[in-house]
Amino acid sequence: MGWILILPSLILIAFETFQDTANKIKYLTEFTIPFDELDEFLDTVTISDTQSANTLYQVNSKEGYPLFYFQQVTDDVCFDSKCRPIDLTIYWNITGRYLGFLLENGEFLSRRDHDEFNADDYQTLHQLLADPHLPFSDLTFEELVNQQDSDYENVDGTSGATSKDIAAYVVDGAAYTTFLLWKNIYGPSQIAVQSATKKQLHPKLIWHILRSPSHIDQLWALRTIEPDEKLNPEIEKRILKLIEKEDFYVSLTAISILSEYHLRSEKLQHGLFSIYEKKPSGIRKPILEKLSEASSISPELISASYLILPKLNGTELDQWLTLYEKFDLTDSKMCKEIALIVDNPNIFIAKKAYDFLANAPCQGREIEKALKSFEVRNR
Amino acid sequence: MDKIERRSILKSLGAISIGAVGPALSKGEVFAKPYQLQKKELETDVLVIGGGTAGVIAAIQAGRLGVRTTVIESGSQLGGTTTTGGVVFPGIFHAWGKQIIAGIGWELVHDCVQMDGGDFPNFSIIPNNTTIRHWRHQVAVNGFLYTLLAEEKCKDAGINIKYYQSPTEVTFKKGKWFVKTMGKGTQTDIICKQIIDCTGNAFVASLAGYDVLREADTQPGSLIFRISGYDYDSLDLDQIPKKFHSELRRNMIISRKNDDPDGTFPPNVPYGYVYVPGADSTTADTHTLANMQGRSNLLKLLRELREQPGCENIRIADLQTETAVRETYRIDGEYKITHDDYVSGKVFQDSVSHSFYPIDLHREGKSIYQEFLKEDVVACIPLRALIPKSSDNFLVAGRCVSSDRLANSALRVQASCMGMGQAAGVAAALACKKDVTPLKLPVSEVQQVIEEHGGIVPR
Ligand SMILES: Cc1cc2nc3c(=O)[nH]c(=O)nc-3n(C[C@H](O)[C@H](O)[C@H](O)COP(=O)(O)OP(=O)(O)OC[C@H]3O[C@@H](n4cnc5c(N)ncnc54)[C@H](O)[C@@H]3O)c2cc1C
Repeated sequence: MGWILILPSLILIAFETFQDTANKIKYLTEFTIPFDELDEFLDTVTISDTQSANTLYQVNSKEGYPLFYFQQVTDDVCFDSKCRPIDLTIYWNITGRYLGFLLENGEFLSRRDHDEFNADDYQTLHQLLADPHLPFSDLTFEELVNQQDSDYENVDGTSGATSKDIAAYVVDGAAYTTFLLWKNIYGPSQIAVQSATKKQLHPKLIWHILRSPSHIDQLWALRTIEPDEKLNPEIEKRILKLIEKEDFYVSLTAISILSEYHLRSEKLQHGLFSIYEKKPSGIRKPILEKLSEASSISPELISASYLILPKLNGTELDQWLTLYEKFDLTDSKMCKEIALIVDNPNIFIAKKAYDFLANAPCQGREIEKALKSFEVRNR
Repeated sequence: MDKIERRSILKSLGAISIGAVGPALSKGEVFAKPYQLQKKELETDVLVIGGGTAGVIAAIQAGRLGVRTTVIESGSQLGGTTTTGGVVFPGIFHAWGKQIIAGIGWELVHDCVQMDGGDFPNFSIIPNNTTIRHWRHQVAVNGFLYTLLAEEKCKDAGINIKYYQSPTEVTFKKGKWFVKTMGKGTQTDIICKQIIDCTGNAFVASLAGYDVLREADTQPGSLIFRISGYDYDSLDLDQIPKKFHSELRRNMIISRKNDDPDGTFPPNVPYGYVYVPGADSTTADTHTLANMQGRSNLLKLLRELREQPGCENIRIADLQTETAVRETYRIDGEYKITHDDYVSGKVFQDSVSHSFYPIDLHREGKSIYQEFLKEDVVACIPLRALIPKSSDNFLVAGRCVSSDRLANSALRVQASCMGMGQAAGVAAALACKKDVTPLKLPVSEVQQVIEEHGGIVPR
């Protein structure tokens, strides 16, 4: 990556992004990554390792944090051998999420028949460009056009884009413009944006990104967390918050990025346990699976878990018993609690408890009594 | 075997086959006695008939509630359309950023994806019904592993699994069901307290004398396959008629694992299939016909494809053993879920599961009628839709749920079938314990137990 100071006019464009720009066509999504302490633009740099011919600029804060990126896209869009240059600026946030576009004074986009875009067209374009999942990624424009009526078909649940749908993925009469801009946003420039931010990442910036309300930002930041680096306490807190959130996939991802190294923090283990009690089964199981990846488990957590055992269904109970087994944990309190469960009228639950006790080094009158009574009941 | 022993065995065999000029026996061979049909008797609390998408979940749930549970399955493995049919994309468990179907079905899918080293789709991406379609949230599973895990979970829940069996007679007497089943070389008389019909065809409901409904024109089935021996990227598609392009392209996509960190679903159908109009899996005869029709359609297609430039060496790489069936019979239930109920997300006082899918009707295999649910709408399934009208101790789960045709075209998807399976498992087990018919159960208790077992009850 090469860092070059850029022309003042481009800095101006960058500034204008956040101001009202009369006479300019500007569509921007919410910024989402809060800036409270990073609010002064100072430096703008070029990243020259993108494969795109158009230069990508990074806007930094006074402290050297990346704030956002932009690129001027200049290309020709031709129909019937008549060409019009396209000249606009595309903006990304620091996780590579598309933020919007800006057309300089007098610049406009047009359709196949050279009709100027109206406000609805721009809005549609902006919405389409904000979708990273349009079915363009593996296609050339020719393939996109040629596959009408053939390649994409419908089977339940796996329906792809039919020719009718392709129309839904482009601005009417401006398929190439939509395609070109989308490819620009989600192609090598986006990768360059992301890797540039990654190189400047530090705990405070990760924490900032994790505070974004956008799941795209949250997921991106979660995936940058290194398994062998200690979690800063603020980040740890933030991760627990995300696990607790209602968004299922963010919770699942936040659990999945935690490593054995991170789990050396007892605070994190306790945090996970307290969330366990509040969450539904779809998240409970991954939490327990994660806790069992720890190299050692907090004794307080284990003691606290005895209290919830009687409330669990058979499968959840089984998951806890497997965890106890994994850490080779048995104490008399645990044995007694589990012995009580052997009496459960539900044979599925009772058998789980019985199997555990029969194989664990649990001793004492209550234990023997419980085992015996189970055997008598199920003779 | 030494000489004397061998001679004496031959002698005694000779004694039972007087007059027959039998072949000489080789070393180690013996004549078996003529086979006598084995008659068995079995008593169970809950009998699940059909170990498919819904049946597996219903059985595991009942087993986990501690009631004696038996599954009879006419095929050789569990999973039904998900595994034997090859439709390895259960969906949809999430809507509008939240999980809406969980419990045992999700547990199975989750374990399967995890053990297979697969990825989940990014459920946080909200379908907008135009550029972001609902199918992105379907989960690609490894069908082989799914079968193995389903069986393991059944065994863990103490389920008695009986493959290769089908009921021939069901009679309700004095609060109990008497079911005769016929299987390979066995006939079993089963006495049970509750039946859950998970055949997908409401077959047992019909056998029991309850009304079942069917459309004059049903959606086609599909026989699913994979082909190899060609390189899609080097084909000259201009030389190949358009009707074959999709066959060639969709087969190239393998969806189990992809590089996208969000694990999004592939952009098109990741397997080959031929449509089988009118496919019906209700009886041995109709299913034989559907399978044979599917296979002959596939052979025709293969021959045509091999005529195309670059496709001369196409060979079949994988083929499901059965034609997967979309639509046959459904019950006439205590409540019939209507299209309106579905698209408006009507919540019932006895709701036991969510369902989320567009209305998705394959019309004569030529086009698909689709209607998407509006933002934040999630459909609901009432317990009454799982109970045939005027029935005793009887439930269904799966695509034969009581519903009108349009509602059914969405309700039939796998996550919804699993949600119904769990609800039916709970209701049957509670009905056994309380010795009542499911309709008489306190609904709130059914709902509470579903939740205790990880299910999500619409409120
Ligand atoms: C081609 C196709 C594509 C689909 N695509 C999707 C998709 O992408 N996503 C999605 O979620 N859904 C999809 N569906 C719908 C969904 O897969 C099915 O509707 C659902 O799996 C049906 O579940 P079920 O439990 O009702 O029946 P099944 O899963 O079919 O189970 C019925 C079981 O009962 C057994 N059985 C039948 N009769 C008897 C008998 N007399 N005795 C004993 N056992 C019997 C069968 O062998 C089978 O194991 C698709 C369906 C088809 C056909």
